[in-house]
Amino acid sequence: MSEDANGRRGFLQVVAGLSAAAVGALAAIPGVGVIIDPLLRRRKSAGGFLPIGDASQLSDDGPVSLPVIGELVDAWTRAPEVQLGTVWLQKGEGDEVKAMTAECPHLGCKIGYDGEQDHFYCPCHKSSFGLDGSVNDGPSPRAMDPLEARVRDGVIEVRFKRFRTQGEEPVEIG
Amino acid sequence: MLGRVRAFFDERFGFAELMRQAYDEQIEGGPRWGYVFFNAFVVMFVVQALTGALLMLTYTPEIGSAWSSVFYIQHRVTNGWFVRGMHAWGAQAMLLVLAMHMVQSVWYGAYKKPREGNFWVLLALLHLVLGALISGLRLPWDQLSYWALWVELNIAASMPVIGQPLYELIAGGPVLGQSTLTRLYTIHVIVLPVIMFKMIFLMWWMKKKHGRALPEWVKPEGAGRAWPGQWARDLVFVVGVLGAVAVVTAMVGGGAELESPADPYRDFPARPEWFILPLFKLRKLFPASLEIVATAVIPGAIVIFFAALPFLDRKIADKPMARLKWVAPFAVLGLGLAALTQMSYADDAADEEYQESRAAADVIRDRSIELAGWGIPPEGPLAMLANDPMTRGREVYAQYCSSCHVLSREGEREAPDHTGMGSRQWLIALMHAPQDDHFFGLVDLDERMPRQNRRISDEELEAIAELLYSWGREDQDPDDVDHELAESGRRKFESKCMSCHVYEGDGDFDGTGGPNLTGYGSRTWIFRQIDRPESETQYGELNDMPAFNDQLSPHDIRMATAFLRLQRFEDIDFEPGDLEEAEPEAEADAEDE
Repeated sequence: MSEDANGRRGFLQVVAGLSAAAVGALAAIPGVGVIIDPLLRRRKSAGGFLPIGDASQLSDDGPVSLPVIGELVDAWTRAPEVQLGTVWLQKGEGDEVKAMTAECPHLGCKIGYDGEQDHFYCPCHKSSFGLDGSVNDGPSPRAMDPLEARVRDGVIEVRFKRFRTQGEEPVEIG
Repeated sequence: MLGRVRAFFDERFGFAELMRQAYDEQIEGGPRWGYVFFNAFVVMFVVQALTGALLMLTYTPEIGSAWSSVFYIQHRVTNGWFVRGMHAWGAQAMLLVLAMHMVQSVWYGAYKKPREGNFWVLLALLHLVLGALISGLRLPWDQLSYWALWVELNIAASMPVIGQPLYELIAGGPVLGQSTLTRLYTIHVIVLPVIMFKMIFLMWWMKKKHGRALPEWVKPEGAGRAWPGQWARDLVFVVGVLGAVAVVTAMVGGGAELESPADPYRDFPARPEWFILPLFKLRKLFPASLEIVATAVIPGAIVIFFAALPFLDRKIADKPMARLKWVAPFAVLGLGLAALTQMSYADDAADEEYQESRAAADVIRDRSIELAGWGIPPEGPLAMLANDPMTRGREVYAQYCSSCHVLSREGEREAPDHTGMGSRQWLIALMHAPQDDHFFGLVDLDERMPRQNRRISDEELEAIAELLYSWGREDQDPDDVDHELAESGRRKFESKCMSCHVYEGDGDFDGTGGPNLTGYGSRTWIFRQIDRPESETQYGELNDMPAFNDQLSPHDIRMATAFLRLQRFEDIDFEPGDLEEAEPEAEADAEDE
């Protein structure tokens, strides 16, 4: 094969290689953005207090659970009134109210209350919590996550947040 | 080290042998540009599979969400617009690449024995790509998707014998609905791609079996390896095509187009995509009784001609000019398609009705995108539009109000103009010349309000206008009322206007003096005016406007009301200077009393 032919071969190989790379770049690189889009998307914390029910629903006999209703933005949908989560409420001193989220810090199952044993428990992996939320038993790495709550004009209001599971300190999802 | 890793895997998977076979493929006559089309098609098929899978990460084939998910891809997902554009325009480019391959096959006579199968597979692929294009472009479930599909399925249903079953098999039911979308989606993302993949595999196998079809008149000189000459040509061509697709993607509004969401009850000037446009025009050239000629007979004859060509044109090795009677029909077909397309564009360019409905569709499309940006309600994008005064209110207005009222220079002038209605400027102009044609000049009223600037100074009229303006203000509006001015207007109003007008229950209102101005310009007042203008809260016995409570739902009246109330933030669009000129005699009479 002549030197000329070798030079042409080399040139064609470079052209083929670069073109293949260009096809890949046009098709694949923008696709990475689509795939990792959820990592780039950060939800803003709703932040404000949400009214969740009448204070008369609180009881001296034990914790009460109430749904939290609020606005939810999910992909393209903005739903004005949907359930965002559930909170456990207990009467505090005087007008105070104590709120904890019902999501287990272990792996996220919904925490229930056992009236007989007077403790909170998670049905999935058997974590149990005292009435103050502290871990009694089981795999939960931290106490039930507390939420800011108050009573205004006879209405219970909660600043609702969701937290990542695992970890000894609560980290808000967002 | 790397060499040993490579050797380990090669021993097990045999990549090196695979690549060697691909590289060493012997090409008769050596690499040439004429061979690039099919390989380019295969590469583009892979790109389509990739971009399609990326779109599937977001797209939702549900009629209440499909449009929203495509909106989300187009306007929210990182690079979503680009991937969508590459997928939509890339598929159309594939059609062109296949067409070029077909032209090349005819030119070379590449379909001759034993290569008839190659040509048939090519023909089948062309139809599969068309099917994928049509099914894919209908997935956004926007107005174009819906109406184009509806027409296409109705054409399918008009075919003899198989028409109706074919229609119902694709539509999944008697009319378009959820089953239609689910079926289209399944056809698009799995059925057609799998068949195309098998066709591509078959083509690859036949090329291996028969070799390249190079006629003798091309004068092949020996043979050549595929690598790197053919590979370089193939890939350069693909880069050129994909580059052009990327440019189109970037130019056409960033991505592919998205009309407003599909609505079976909102009309739309549907036009098919460019590759169906010739058929669209062809159908228009035939009277309804001969429609089948355009929709089935002619296209069917063309396809049958293509399929039979390998049997008709048997003279192997003849130059295209020697086979003119077989090559010429393709030139005629190409010219015919181009001419029909051009005629169709020319029709629309000259069609004012089309331009108008296209402009109206543009307004709703832009508004849909704007509204969706704030979040789409769970009830879906149609609920979003139905609850939007700017969309639904405008539509109700256009249908029911503009036969008597003028707004933004549109409509018949028989009653007061609505442009700037309720604004200070409009109120002052009204008080200056109530009997101008822009106000009550053309209305058949028993009592006619005289020019107020003859008895009230301009400053005082300004104060009264401020008062009237304040009555229409709502809590969500900006606090732009001059309360001090309005208060002085109130004193003026009470002394000068209440001999004819009622305000907050006070004043002389026996149903004949003048309209009740309690809450004038507020939503409640406008709603009642549309709902029952003859009620005592409005014009009473004086009224000359039809009531709409039996024609419009309360929701639609609310939408029209909210739409109209926005006019208080607009300016009037006629010169207040005109008013001095206009003085109908009726006004002069009223003045004398």
